[in-house]
Amino acid sequence: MNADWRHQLQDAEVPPVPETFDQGVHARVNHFLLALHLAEFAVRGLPAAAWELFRATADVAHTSPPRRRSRPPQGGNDIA
Amino acid sequence: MDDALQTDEELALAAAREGSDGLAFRELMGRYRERVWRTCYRLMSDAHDAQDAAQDVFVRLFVARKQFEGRSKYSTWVFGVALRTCLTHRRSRGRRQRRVRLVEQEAIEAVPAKATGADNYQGVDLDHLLAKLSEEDRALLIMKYAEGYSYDELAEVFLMSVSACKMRISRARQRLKQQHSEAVA
Repeated sequence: MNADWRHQLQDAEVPPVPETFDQGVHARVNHFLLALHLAEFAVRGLPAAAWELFRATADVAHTSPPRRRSRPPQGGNDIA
Repeated sequence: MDDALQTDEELALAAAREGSDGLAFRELMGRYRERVWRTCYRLMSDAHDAQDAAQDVFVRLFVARKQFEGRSKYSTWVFGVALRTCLTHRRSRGRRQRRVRLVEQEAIEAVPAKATGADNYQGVDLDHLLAKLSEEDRALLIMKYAEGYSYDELAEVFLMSVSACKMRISRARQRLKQQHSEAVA
């Protein structure tokens, strides 16, 4: 019995590798890389961008001169 | 790039430095495509599932390309990934099939043998006999006797000693013989 099933296992036909195999792997790798980059962008890129925007806004608010109040014109003083 | 002159391990290190599936990874894929496909086809017993599993193997190799440290041969690493991927796919396929076709499965098991076919062994379906073994035992027998892996290779892939590997294969063969006797009786 032993030899029979071994031969049968060995002789079982295996079809050739499908022609689209490499393209399939390439597409899957691309999907993985896209997902990785999107996740990296969401986890690291967006918080970093938000932080930079916050810092820039805070700097602008901090370094801008205070707004002067407009005074009402005092009539008749400056014209002789 | 002189890929033909480079060993698998050198190419693996080059692939680890690549940002995407570049020249080194593609060369490695070319070297292992055929054997990974054969192993997956044998283990999955279905062309569609085999293609899915084999492509998944290469994606996993790509994802984990920086984890290869060169402590073992690259081929052992590849076939270890192939084995684990196929076992995972078979388990998930088994769960899916059990959910969907519980009644159909009972009907199939009621039929002991196919009337004809290449996978018919002395009136008994060899695939059916192998499917009654545990997934690891089935994979061990297929990789040993269908694909011709050595005991050393199998021991590394299955993460066990060579003597334990021989013992496990021997027991799996006995169980297969027993299954065959019961099916014929």
